[in-house]
Amino acid sequence: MWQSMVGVLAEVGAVTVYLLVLFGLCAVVSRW
Amino acid sequence: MVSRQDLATVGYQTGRVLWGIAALMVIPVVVAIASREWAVVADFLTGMGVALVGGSALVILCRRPSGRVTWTQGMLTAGVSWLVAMVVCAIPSWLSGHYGSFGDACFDVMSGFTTTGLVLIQDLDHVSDGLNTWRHLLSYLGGQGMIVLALTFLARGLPGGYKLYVGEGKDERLLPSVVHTARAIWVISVVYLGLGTLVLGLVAWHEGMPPYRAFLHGMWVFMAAWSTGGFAPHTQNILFYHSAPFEVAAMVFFVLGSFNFGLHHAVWTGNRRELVRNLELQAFAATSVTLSLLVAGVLSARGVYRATVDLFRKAVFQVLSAHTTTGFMTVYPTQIPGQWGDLALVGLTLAMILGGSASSTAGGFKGVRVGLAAKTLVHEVRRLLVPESALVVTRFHFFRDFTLEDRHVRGALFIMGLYSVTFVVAATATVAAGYPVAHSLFEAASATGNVGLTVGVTSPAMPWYLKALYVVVMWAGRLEFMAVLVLLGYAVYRRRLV
Repeated sequence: MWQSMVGVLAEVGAVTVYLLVLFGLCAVVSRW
Repeated sequence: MVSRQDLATVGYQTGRVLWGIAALMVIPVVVAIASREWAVVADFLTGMGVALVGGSALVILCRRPSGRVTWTQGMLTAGVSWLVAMVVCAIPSWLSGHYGSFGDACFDVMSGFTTTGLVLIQDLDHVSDGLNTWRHLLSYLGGQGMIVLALTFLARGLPGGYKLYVGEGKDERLLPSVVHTARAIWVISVVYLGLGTLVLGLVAWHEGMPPYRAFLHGMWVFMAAWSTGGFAPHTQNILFYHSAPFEVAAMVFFVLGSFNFGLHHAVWTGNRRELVRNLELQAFAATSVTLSLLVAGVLSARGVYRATVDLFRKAVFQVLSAHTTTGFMTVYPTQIPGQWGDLALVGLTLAMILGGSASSTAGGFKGVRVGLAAKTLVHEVRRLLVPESALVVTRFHFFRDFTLEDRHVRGALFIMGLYSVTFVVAATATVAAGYPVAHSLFEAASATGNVGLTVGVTSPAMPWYLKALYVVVMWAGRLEFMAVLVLLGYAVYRRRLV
């Protein structure tokens, strides 16, 4: 149970970080 | 050759599938009663009656076959029951009066089952809550059910991805693995259904929707996102909400939905390093970043959006929606070829062809095959650079460590080849029906990869033969061709024997 909740947090966290990196890269490209 | 025993098994199992459909129709009936839509309740009770009578007739006529269900019988059932289920599920949709013909209703049901998201429904903005629940439910359940099917029935013939996950020496007895796999998949899906409905519902409520409506929209959009289906309760799709937080939440859920269920299982059982080491996710990250930058660059160069935030909000959402084969849209269909231009169209088409992960609801080539193709390329280049006698070894990680072998590559390229041929056939037929080449390529990639993005080709006005072809293409793409090849093989084999 606890392990699964940590798993959900890890997945949501990983996707959020990935989206932030993607937004950042796109912002750099569009300004450049 | 198909024996009487095979037919009895297929009939019996299909009958039980129809009973399941009758039971499922209870959910839209409950929503319709809560929303006081009495005509919709009548539509679903009619559908339920047909499913119960048809299912009971098949179960009684075929009786319970003795002995174990064999792999070939399972494969035949998978192929046949999908087509029968499509017709029965289309009954309440057709009775709603939102479809030009029964065939159009079947198209939408197949689009839902295969988690594609292309629609022929008319006046979507005034569809009842009951029917909207049914559409999204079919997409959600069709998606999860398909993975159970893929990991059990189809795994035997698929070295290009699934077999790596399920292991080489797979047990021929289906039941233990079906029950175990199905349970794991449903637990993961239901936990995320609760979380997703809550998050999206709260965002919709915060954006000004009444609580009951916000809950329904949260549930519908989550179901479409998690199953990478792409249905939405309004014609404008996700653009309808005009909400950045809603778009970001939807993006998180459809990216998660495009992950391999083996990956969810690994992370949930403590193996969190898999998120970084998995070949499939590495391939997805590399291609999605490249294509996002391409589309963002094109939009920037063309000056489509004044504000940078608007630009990457639209670009990243559309590329990820295409790449995960979801099909949600935050722009109008005609905007992509018109305003975004051909290069952006190519970027999105490539994303749709590459697709999400194996053992997920996503379509397309799938990350593991793209990753294997890239590894092969590097492997071959390295081989050219070293002396002929030197041994070149390439390793990759996909739930465990592997050494790249010919059989991995052959399996991956076989499915990629079948996808490519299907895509070319669909695109050529669309061009032959009189649509522009770029539009045809885009729409064909969308149907073959079970995506659902559209530039306007898919509409009630498209020729009937193109609708029929798209139904077949969606079905074949979703079943990864294996069940289709088995059915064709049986047809040819029987004819030779007679």
